Amino acid sequence: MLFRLSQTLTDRYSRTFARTVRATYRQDEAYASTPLGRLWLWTALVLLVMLPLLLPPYPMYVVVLIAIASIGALGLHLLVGGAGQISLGHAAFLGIGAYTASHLAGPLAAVGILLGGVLAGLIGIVLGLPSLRIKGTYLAIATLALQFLADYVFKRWEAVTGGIRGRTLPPAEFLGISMPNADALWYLVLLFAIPLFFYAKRLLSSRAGRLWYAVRDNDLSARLSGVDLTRAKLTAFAISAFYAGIAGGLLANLYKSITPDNFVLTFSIQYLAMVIVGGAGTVLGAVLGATFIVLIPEVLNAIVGAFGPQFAPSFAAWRNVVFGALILLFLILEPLGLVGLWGRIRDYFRTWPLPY
Amino acid sequence: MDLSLLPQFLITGLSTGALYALITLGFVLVYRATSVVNFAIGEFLLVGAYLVYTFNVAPFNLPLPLAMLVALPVAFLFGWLIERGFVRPLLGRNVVAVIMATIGLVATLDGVAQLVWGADQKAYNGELPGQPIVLGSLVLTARSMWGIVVGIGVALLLIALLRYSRYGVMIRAVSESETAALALGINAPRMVGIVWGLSAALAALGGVLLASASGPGFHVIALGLMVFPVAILGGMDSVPGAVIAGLALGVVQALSTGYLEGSLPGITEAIPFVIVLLVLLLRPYGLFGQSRIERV
Repeated sequence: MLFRLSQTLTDRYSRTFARTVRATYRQDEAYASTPLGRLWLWTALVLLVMLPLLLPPYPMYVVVLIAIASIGALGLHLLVGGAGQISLGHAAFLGIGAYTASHLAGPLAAVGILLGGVLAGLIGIVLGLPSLRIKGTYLAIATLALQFLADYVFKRWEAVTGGIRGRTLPPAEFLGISMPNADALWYLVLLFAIPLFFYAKRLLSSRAGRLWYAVRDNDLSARLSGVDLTRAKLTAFAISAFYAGIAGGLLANLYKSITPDNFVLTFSIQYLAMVIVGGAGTVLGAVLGATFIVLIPEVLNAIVGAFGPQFAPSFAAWRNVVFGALILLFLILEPLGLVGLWGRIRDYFRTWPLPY
Repeated sequence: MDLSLLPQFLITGLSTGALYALITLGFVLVYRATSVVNFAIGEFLLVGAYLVYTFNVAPFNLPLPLAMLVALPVAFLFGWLIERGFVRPLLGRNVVAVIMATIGLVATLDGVAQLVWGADQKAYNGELPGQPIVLGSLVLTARSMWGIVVGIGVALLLIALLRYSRYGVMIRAVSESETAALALGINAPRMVGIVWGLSAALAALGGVLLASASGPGFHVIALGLMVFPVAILGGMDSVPGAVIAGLALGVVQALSTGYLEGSLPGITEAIPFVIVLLVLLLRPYGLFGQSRIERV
């Protein structure tokens, strides 16, 4: 009797809160699999739109940073978690987007950001070419080389990038509305972020994503079952670079001044950290990872503030230690990242109070 | 172009190149034994250079060569601990995970080094001993002599040890096939630990000699990253390739500093990575590597 009751409860729970069994591709592709999920989705969207009214300026600035970082992280997610390719040159793509956007700023900001994404995507295809012949380790080294070359170009191509002094941007405008601060820019970020997120979710749960997963899990057997590896890998690189380019363009409009230092290897590593901490191959993971990594410096700032200013000089060092340690801890202890952690907590409650 | 300076550039290049070769040797040994690419090699150089600095200044105040001798076992221990703590737990996971772990080490070690030694540029106490040799217009500074002698000497010693010593044979056996080595009673995990320690010690040696002119500081990391162009050019799993490619890239960089830097500032740092991309596209296994790369 108790068993029957618990089973019914469990069943009911999973149908409303967390559907695990998906019978059709249609269910698999749905953005939210349960009625409650759909409600959540709509509430979240409304909340996102109203956010600048609810938050004071500085937290809002951090939220904009998180949103932009999520777009970039999502791009890397599609590449690393989706197609299983590795890139140490993600910051270079952000840079391409940012410098493009810096030339089409002000009233043309939205066009500039979009164009930056497209340009980054095109270069992503070129840079994806090594992935056709090499993989794993060698690919990581190739993208590392690209990161250094991009750094060289950003610093030395003064006519376009302004050299080490970088470039400054006027406040973005969209449809005649000026966006001088983070509150206003938020809507431009949302304009790009929402479609990009839905598109990524759709990509991962539809044919393209399934092809990528096949390549990730075993490229040889993927090839044998008829996956066009060249296409799968190149689209992964192109789309990932496109997302990075968009994020870079938005970042340029938020900072209003960019220098080559904004796009060095450290930032590529930060994006990888977002992917690892967030968890492989899901859209939620990108957001969780980006939130986590962007918040670390903020939390450290608060701690440094609490302990007193004598700790301020070692702030950068501590940030590095925390980033690195997080990557290592998650890799060793929780390879599925925050998403995996969340999944385990959810599974625990799914069968609670009778786990067997 | 002033060709009269060419021999001077060649000597400078060979001395840097010999040190590149030395560092890459350690890197290649790790790759052969564990298939792990150590992206934190630049930090190994950094830690090594700083360890020597620690023994070089108060309270130890050892002269530079002695400080190096004392620091090498410490660096060995450091490499061994890194393997124990962060690489071994990931054994058997896919390549991407292990690469990421070494990238995590990059950030961690950067931060720790900064906390321990500070972010500012340090200077070694005293110079490397030796008198400069003057041959006509050619000047062999003590520093280039040290680079060439230590770099090539230690590299040859290491190759000889790998070939003839008991431990060398065991390390090669583990690199060849870990399973077979285990079946023959070789303590494979211990060998892997030794290889990582060796790699860290070689990186420390190369790091301190490369940094002897400027003193230890965070620019050493960039020098450590030269390992990648060298290893890719020579072939990731080739010991002689590491030595030859190291010398070659050292000379290329010296020539580019001498002849190209005037018209194209910064090009010297970019050239090695252009070489990486070209090699990976045209001949991914490098000049001397085994063509074992899987292509799908």
